[in-house]
Amino acid sequence: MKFVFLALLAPGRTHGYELKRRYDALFAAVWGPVNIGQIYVTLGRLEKDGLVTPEAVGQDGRPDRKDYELTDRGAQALDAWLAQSDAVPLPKSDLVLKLVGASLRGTGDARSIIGEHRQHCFQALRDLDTAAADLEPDSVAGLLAQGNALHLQAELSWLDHCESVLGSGPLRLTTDDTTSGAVP
Amino acid sequence: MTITDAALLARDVHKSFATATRRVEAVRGVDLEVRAGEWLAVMGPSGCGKSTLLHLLGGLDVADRGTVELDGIDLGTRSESERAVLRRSRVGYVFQFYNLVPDLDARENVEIAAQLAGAGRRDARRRTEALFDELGLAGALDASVTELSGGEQQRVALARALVNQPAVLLADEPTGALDTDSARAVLALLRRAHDDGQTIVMVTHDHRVAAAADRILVMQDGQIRDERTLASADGPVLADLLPLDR
Amino acid sequence: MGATVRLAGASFRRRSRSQVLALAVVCAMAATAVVAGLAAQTSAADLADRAYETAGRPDLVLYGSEAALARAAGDPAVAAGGQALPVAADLETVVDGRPVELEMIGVEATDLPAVGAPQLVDGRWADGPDEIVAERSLVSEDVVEVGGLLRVDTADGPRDLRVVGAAVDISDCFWPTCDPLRTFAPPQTVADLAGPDGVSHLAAYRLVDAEAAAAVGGRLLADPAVGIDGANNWPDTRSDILIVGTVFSTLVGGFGTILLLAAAFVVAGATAARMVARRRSLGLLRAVGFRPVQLYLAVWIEHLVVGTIGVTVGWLVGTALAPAFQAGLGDVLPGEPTRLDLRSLVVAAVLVLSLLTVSVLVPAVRAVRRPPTEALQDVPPSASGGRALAGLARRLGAGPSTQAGVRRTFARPGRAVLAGGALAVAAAGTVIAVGFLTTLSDVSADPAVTGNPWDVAVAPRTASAGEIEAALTDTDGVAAWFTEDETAGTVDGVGYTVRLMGGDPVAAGYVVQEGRALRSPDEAIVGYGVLEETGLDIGDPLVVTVDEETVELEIVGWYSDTADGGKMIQVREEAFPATDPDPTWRVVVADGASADAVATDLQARFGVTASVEALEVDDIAGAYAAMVAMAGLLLLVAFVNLVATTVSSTRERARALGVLRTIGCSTGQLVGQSAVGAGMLGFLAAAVAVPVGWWVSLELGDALTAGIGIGPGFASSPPLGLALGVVVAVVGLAAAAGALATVGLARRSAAALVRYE
Repeated sequence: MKFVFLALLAPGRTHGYELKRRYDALFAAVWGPVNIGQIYVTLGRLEKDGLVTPEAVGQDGRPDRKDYELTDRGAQALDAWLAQSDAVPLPKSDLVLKLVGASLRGTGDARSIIGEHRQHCFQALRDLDTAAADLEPDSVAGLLAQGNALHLQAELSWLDHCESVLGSGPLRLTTDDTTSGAVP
Repeated sequence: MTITDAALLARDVHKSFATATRRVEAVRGVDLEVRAGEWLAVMGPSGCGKSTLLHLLGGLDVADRGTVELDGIDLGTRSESERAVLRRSRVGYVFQFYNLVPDLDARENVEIAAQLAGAGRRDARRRTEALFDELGLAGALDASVTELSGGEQQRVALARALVNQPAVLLADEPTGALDTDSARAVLALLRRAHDDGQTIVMVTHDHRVAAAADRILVMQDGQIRDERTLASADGPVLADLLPLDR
Repeated sequence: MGATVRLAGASFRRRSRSQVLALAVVCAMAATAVVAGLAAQTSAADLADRAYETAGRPDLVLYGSEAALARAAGDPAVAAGGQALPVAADLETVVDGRPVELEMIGVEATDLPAVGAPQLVDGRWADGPDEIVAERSLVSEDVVEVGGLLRVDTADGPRDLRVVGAAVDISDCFWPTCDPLRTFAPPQTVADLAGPDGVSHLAAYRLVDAEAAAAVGGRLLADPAVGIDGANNWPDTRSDILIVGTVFSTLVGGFGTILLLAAAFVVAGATAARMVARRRSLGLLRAVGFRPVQLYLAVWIEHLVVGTIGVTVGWLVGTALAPAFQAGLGDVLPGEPTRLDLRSLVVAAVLVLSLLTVSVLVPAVRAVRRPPTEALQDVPPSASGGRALAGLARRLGAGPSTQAGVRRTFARPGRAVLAGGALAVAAAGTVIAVGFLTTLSDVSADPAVTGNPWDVAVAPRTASAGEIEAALTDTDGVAAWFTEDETAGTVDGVGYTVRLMGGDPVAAGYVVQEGRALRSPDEAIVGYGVLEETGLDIGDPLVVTVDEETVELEIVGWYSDTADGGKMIQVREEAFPATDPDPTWRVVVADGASADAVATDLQARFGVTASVEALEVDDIAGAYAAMVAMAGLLLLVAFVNLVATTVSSTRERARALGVLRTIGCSTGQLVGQSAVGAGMLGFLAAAVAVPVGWWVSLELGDALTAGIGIGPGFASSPPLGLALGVVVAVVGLAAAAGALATVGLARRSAAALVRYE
């Protein structure tokens, strides 16, 4: 998140409330408006790390406003983060472990575990589409919604694949010494 | 034996085909009930029998065994002609490809369906124009089929399917051949029809499309393997659905 | 019903103009053929029958003395008529430089007979002693013209008479088929001009039973108590008048049928192709709730509209052309100008539209009956034919490229059959045309076949037999001669013409079909018509009465003669010793000599002592042209159809061609493959059609020759070279069609072909 704040300062120095405004415009639709206190806390940390620098700005008849600005180090850090490649999304799957567990335990068949998970994915997809109905596709929220919907679709496709591969019975295990304990 | 609010009923339905080289059992003992106003999605790998099931539900084909009841009428006891007549007013079909008769223009494709069901020429015209307006096709009335994009053609097909206010709308991969935007538009129209009370049975391979339905059946090898009912979404908020790794 | 009609209308509006035009043209052609065929069949006969009715139905014309004719009038078989007209029979005139016999019949304009009166069609009846009216055929054959003069040679010398009118007379057939020339004049003129033989008489009778005319005539002729000298009956006269009409009607009727068949194949092929292209639409329409019956109806209505327009146009064209099919009789017999005959429209409409219905509905039913679920899936109907033929091609050494072409042509056996069918019909039609023409030209080129196996006739006036034979022996170019005297005879009371032969008629070469030529006086040979009518056969006895002399003869053969519908009997003149022969010499010229030259020579030698005439051969150039045109038209139709049906299977072919392109076939190879495949189709079509056409042309030829009295067995086979030529032409045409249909596609890139929509 700190890099998001650095990026919010990239257009030019500004003060806390302005930062909140910028943040909300981009992210409020998805994660709700940000707390102003949270902004100052984060700014403080960034200042301590030397990535931003405060500056007092005089205002007529009012107390001084505190503006923050990216330092050179801050700009470099931001650029470094931008240049960094992202992790490829390879979700870890509890489902496979559950399938193994269930077959070792001898309870429940693969099909019902998959079915339950499928129900949740479908419901999430439905809810997501309903909630995201009014989002602009070119907004942060719109991109995220599409991304997650596609991930859910992928998960559902994978569930279909699991089902067709596993047939109607227990998981077929790959090593011999575990098959001896398998219960039909 | 009929549940009166079931728009569609299938009991132990079997259907097989003989091709040149072998016999294929497309549907092997399917039971299902579709209530009036319900939206059912049928999914499954290709060759699982979902399209065949759809044809049986609409009377386009006849089951080898078992009963299919459409709006309370047992389709198995009806002749081909009678089923054709039933299809006119009780069933609306939307297919994945080739939904419109290229010999007719957009308006004619819909008006002819209305006239076939007994509407007079003026009445058919009126209903068609109203539907085209609703479906955002007002400018396409006199276009020839080849002038329309895939999405527009599919919407015209939807108009044709709905012009006689059928008991059931049967859609076979309605968004399968469309690009994302057209698919979304068609899905929105289906949602709207459903909101107006239209019973829909839809075959699809697209999970996202299926997720719009009230109930989802998953078929495999001619049988229903899984059935999931989905709740209408009014609880969850976007933030819960899009967790941010802070 | 409204939805069905709407569907028909909308589909009709979407069809390409060329398709609609092609269908309309085919229907129009077929309708024209039907109407023309009807005209040919009925028109000439109509005219003849109309003349018969107008003349008061003269079933029988008798010649003899007034007393004899009066006695005949009292016969119970006679219903009306019998008014005797004076006849001067011994007159002569000169036509084209040679003397011909002329007959003058006395008619009083104010006292025309109720039955059998000549019908004035031009000018007026003769008034004074220098006026005559000519029989109509004399005018149409340019012997005289109304208002002109005719020099008549009488016993008292030549008289110039003015022709003041023309009349149609059906007491006998027309000049020049029948001689003498007939004219009409006031009875006084007849009496004045009659020669030393004086005035004889003729009268026409209407009988109680018109069918019995020949029998009644024969009976009266044979009855010495009545004393009749000669008899003509209307059925015989009518068949003489209509000979050419029979030829024409066989021709046009045959062609009309062939054209209808070709049209049926063309329409069926086009419809089948269109139904295949529309199969998904049909599936969709059924899914939406159209019943199969409604779809058939829609397709039918769509085609029927076009067909009806085509038929109407064809009817108008056919009616306009009808006078051409009146076989020349329109010039002679009076007839009303062509009016639009609703009957022929109805017949044409029923025939053509029924054929259209069948041609359209059969493919439509096949296409509609496919389960809609299948039709919607865009699974093209099975296209697995052609394997056997491709295998054959391989065994004949064809490479894989050629085999692919063969496979492609025959992939849809049904469609190949239809396109091939049209080709086959065209090929058969061509063979039939050629065969028919060959028969016709052989028949007309060889007068022996029509019963006139001689080149020059010498009719003596004052020359003696010895003088004539001396002159014949002396003249260059004369190969042989015999004598012939036609007289009236009866067999079993039925009248026949009997030819008394002298000299050596075998030299002439009457075409004896079965049996052998005449040799001895107790033999007879007969025309086919006699066998048909009497039911006798070769070897049977024939009892003939001539001039009260009855003789039993043995039938030793039948020969070919068109006169009197083949009802002629030939005997040696010695068979009837009591009869005084009045022979004409028939001269056969040597090979290479010109009949006209010999005739001129002889005429010069005889002067006025004898009349010499060279035999004219009928000109059938007109028939040639008509048949060639019709055959050409058929082939064109089949060619265009083949191109059209091949082109219309474009979508699947485009994909197939695209695949072949991707694996490296060049444009030339693709075109070549299609040409070979289509050529093979053409070969198969011709292989079936040529033998069938051959057989049909023989049958048709036999029907023709039997119809005009020659008898069956004279049909000539089309020359073998020509039949093979037809095969080659059909193969070439088909190959060209296949190539033409592919050329446009073959030039595109593989990508474009595979994407072809």
